[in-house]
Amino acid sequence: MNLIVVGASAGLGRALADRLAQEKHNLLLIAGDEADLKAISADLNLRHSVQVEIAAVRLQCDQNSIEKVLAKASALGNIDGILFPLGYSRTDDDGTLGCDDINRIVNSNMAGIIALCSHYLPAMLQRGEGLLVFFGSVASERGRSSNIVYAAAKRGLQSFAESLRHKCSATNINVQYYQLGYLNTAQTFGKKLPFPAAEPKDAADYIVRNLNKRFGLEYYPWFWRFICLGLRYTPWMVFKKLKF
Amino acid sequence: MQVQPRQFISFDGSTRLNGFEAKPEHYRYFDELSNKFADASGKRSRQDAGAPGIAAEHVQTTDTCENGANRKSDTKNAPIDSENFNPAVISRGAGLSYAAASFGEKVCSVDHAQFNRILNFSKEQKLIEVEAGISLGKLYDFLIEHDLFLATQPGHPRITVGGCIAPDIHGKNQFMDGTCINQVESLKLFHPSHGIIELSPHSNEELFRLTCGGYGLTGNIISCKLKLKSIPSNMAEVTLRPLNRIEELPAMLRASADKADFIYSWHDFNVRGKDFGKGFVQEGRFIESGSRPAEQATATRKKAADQTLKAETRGGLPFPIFNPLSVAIMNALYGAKGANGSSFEMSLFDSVFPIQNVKELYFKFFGAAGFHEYQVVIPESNFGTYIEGIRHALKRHSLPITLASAKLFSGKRDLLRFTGDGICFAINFARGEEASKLLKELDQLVIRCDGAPNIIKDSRLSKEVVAACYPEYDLFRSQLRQFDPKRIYQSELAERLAL
Repeated sequence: MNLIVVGASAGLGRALADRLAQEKHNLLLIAGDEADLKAISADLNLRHSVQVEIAAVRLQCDQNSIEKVLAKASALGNIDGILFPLGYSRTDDDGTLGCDDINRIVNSNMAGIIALCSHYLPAMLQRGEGLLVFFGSVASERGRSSNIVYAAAKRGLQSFAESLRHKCSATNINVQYYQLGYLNTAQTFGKKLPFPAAEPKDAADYIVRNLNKRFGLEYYPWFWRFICLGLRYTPWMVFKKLKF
Repeated sequence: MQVQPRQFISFDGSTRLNGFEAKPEHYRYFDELSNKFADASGKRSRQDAGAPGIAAEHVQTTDTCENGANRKSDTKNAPIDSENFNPAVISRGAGLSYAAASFGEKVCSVDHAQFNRILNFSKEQKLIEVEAGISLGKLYDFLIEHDLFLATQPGHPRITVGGCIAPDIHGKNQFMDGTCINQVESLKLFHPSHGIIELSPHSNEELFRLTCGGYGLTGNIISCKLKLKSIPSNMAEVTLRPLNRIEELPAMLRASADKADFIYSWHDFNVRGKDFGKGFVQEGRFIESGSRPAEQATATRKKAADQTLKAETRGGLPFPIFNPLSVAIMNALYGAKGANGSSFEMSLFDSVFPIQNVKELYFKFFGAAGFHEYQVVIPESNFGTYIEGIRHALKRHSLPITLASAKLFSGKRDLLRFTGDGICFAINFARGEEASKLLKELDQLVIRCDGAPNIIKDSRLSKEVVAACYPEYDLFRSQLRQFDPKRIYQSELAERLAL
């Protein structure tokens, strides 16, 4: 398949790019850092003999960034699927951010993703097949006093993915949404976490093994399904006292 | 730049130090590091800093770097732990060195794990360019598909290429292929005051020689071009030749050198009398093909890649399994396999990386207290004196020797590089009071025998012993200061040896 991986230069995105190249998929890798993308593309091309294109673009909901992606994607031909393992959060996301910071969080976690999807959806609907894989965060299960804009954007993304799945239910377009728990990346580095962090490589293995499965929402690692279930049904009187 | 406090433990179990760790995922990190040091030195930008010492006159810096180090950095949102961050740094690869070369008290260890990509490859020219954090196992997996091979490699597949260059490690073929520096065509070194510098035997040669064998003290090795060697298949044939008297070892190694691609020996140092040091020499040759299917070799590699040998978990057992009885039994069993001489085929991977899978238990069997490896290179003419010295020392300090092994060496000793003409000889034993006394005697013995101990294998070696054994110790120190007067790159090893 010809696949686009958005957010491919680090963490889960990089692990996914490696795993997908191992499965002999041709790739367009999108991330903000060109130097890292060049290194990853050379590595994947040499080790797995697949076509790897790169686009150093910070994806957002504007025509300019979408067109930069499209220009690079044309080298691959028809795009069969897009994976969005990207996210952007910041420690001062406490409800007091300025417009630029809010825009960046919303663009990176939702608006940019929706814009790119919206471009490719008509072609996928016409062919009647395609693959769209979205990644959310357990941080968006319930609103808390931290990661406020981030969680709102991720919850918006989840709603968008559900809508797409509904729209595409009569076709062979597979829409998957992973709700991710902690992963061992630079984002979690050095933090004391209440639950173990999964390795991006293991997550990528799991995701690639399940690319053909049709499901709406999947939790990774699996135990987060139960933690999130508990969180969702925690009464407000209790939840408001939780500090996490 | 995200920096976190961390307690580091040396792989041999000796050193527990508090330092800091940075886990970068992008080249942008090195930009941030440059800015950090520019800020610390009075807001001076790196571009204005110039290159002091060696660098001012001879170093050619790269103006536009494909790795992006000269690009404007995006530090606005980077969580910098400025309060705790000490402006001393050091690179860290797999963290499997016996000595504490990749960390130090209040030193920031830069984890190179994410910098592990293959950047360029030419089968015709037999050259590969890789980032320094790539593991030898990953590199092997790629090269074997092209019937190529990195000639000098240590014994574990998780060791990184940067971790080979920094201490200029050797393999089991040092006598014919030299040390790691001989396999490096060129490398890119990052230093906050100099940016990214390309080093090779032809460009910035002095700094190249200072970096290959510089224990990471000249900067972060970002990437390197490595020279490769052709091999006929992924199989090797190993012949075991019994050795009844250890005094005959140098002659036997020399005799094997003409017909082997790699050689090493095994000895039993726990028997007394005339059998002291008996054992066998292992002669390995690359062969055209073998009876073992390639798939099986691949499976072995994958299994090895999943192993979790770490400094932090090596000492999980509260007590050692090794004691005089268990070591005697182990050596008797191991020694029996070479007693009558035999030949067998094995995968090249297993022969290059003998310490993997179940054999990793060897390190864990020392328990929490840890172990010592005392590895020296001794001129051939003094080998008999050295062995006799060990024999007498062991009479005074009775310790079970878990491993005694030798390799043939060839070359000229310079700076702090572990090389030279002669026999490379290593012994392992458990850490403890008696072991410390034995080591003090061995230090004096190696000085008397005009030998040199391996700095990267010994976490308690003193600067006096190193200065006595390495004639260019002072030259190394002065060259290092010439290049980096502020001595930004530090480690426990550097501090202990006053480098």
